[in-house]
Amino acid sequence: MSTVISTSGLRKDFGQLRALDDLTLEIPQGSIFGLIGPNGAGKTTLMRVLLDILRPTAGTVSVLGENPRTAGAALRNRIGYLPGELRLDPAMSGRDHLRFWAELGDHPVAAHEEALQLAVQLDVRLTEPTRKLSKGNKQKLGIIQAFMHRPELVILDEPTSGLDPLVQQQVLGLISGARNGGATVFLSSHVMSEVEQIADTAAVLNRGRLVSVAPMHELRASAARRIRAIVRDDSSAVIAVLRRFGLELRAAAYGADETAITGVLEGKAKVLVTALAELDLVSLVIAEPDLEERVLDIYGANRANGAK
Amino acid sequence: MPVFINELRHGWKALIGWTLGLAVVCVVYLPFFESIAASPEMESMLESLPPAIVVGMGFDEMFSGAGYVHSSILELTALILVVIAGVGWGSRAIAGDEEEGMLELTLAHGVSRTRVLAERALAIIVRFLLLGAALWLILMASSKPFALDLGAGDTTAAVASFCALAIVIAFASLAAGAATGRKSVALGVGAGLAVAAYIANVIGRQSQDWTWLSAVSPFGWAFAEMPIMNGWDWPGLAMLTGLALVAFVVALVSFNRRDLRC
Repeated sequence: MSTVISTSGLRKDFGQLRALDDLTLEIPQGSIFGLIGPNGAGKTTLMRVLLDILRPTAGTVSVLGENPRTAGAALRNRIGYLPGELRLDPAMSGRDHLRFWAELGDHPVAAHEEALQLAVQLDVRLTEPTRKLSKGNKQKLGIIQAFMHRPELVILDEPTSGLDPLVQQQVLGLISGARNGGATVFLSSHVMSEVEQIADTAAVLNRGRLVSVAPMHELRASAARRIRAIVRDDSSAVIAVLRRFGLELRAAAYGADETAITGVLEGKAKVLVTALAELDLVSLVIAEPDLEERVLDIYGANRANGAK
Repeated sequence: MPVFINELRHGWKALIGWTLGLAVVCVVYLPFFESIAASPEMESMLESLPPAIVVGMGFDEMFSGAGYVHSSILELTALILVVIAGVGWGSRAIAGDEEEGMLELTLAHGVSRTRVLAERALAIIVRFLLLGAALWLILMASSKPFALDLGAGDTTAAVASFCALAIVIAFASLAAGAATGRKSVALGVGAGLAVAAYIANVIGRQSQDWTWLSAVSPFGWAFAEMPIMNGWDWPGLAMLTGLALVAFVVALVSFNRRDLRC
């Protein structure tokens, strides 16, 4: 499998501010790669460097086998991009915008047809000037232009922000569809659930540094899960068992003769289940892994390291 | 040429507005020529003014139709209009679009910075040629009714110099905006050049010691030889074209080298 995006030792400074710091990253073809990070982490800067909107201070970048700095317009014809803060000409209609964007590319007629089709699919009104469109409808126009020329690589900066859940699902469908058609998708988000739903691999970026890159299932496996169990034993016995298994969970009396065990489980569920088997288990809830918390842990660890 | 076409497609309303502005200026000023040329009061008023002002403002030429058009329209009112238009267009072409955040997405498409800049520069030139053509038609149509006695060839030459000056000022704004990405800088440079060129020319006219100021002023290149009376001023046009080209090259090189400000 070939690599679509690769950076090595990538650095970008804005005056004193280091927006990207020694970033080395590889994104394989045909994957959906999620980039997670808080606002200001450098996600948008990285995407702009890939598109030659910004020029790196140091390091190398390769996109679809080319250097964005020298490959120019021909390379960008193979890429679809949705900026994080989409700005449209308030006086121009959606139709005018789509026509303009289509004309910028190599295959204006095909791109325009595709755009109109996507507009129907996403239900955007094209005749009104964009100043009259809601944020969600503008965002749909942005999504359409990112996909209209069937790019090999789609770069989406916070694609579903401002969209209602129904449209979010449609957009996630578009993204999966593009991947199934062979395209690579690189998307960023500060909302974990977005990446969680769709990405194959995720990277966490914080303060311009890559904190972790892992396949989604690994990230999920390492994520903490909230648990809540009710046992018909008295709390001192429960505490003894938990301690024996090395489980750091809370136990508190619950009703007349029951004890509630609550807390956060890290790692495998097997230890917990074995421990609970020794007790008179009434009910057990293990929540879906909360990646948001896992990512916050990663930020936290990173911050603590930085402080040392 | 998608960028060029898009510029004109969405700029035609404003262009009609500027054309109307030129027409209004002509309609307001041109009918006065006959009365001014014939009035003794005007002559005595000009004599009472300090000669520096009379010569500096070009009032001494007011007694021929061509001279009147030159001083009241080409060098003054119509020029103010096209300078405002040109500084606006030049600033918006790159810097304004960039500050509004729309240039980023345009440049993320399969189009080079050179191309966006060149097509927008071309759109500015075409707009001025259209404005120039409109001004020419208005002047020629006014020539008979207001007894201006303008020559078609000389008027063409004068409008050409007029448009070239407007393009130079617009391109100064374009270059400043392309180099910095700041609309305020672009506006300042364009307007600053226009004012400096105007003042240099006014001072340059007043005494032999200062003629060099007029000779280095784009304003002087456009108007010193009074093309509306004397026909094509090729050296002046060449200087204006040269300066516009320099501004364009500066814009191109600096815009291609820098980060987009987003």
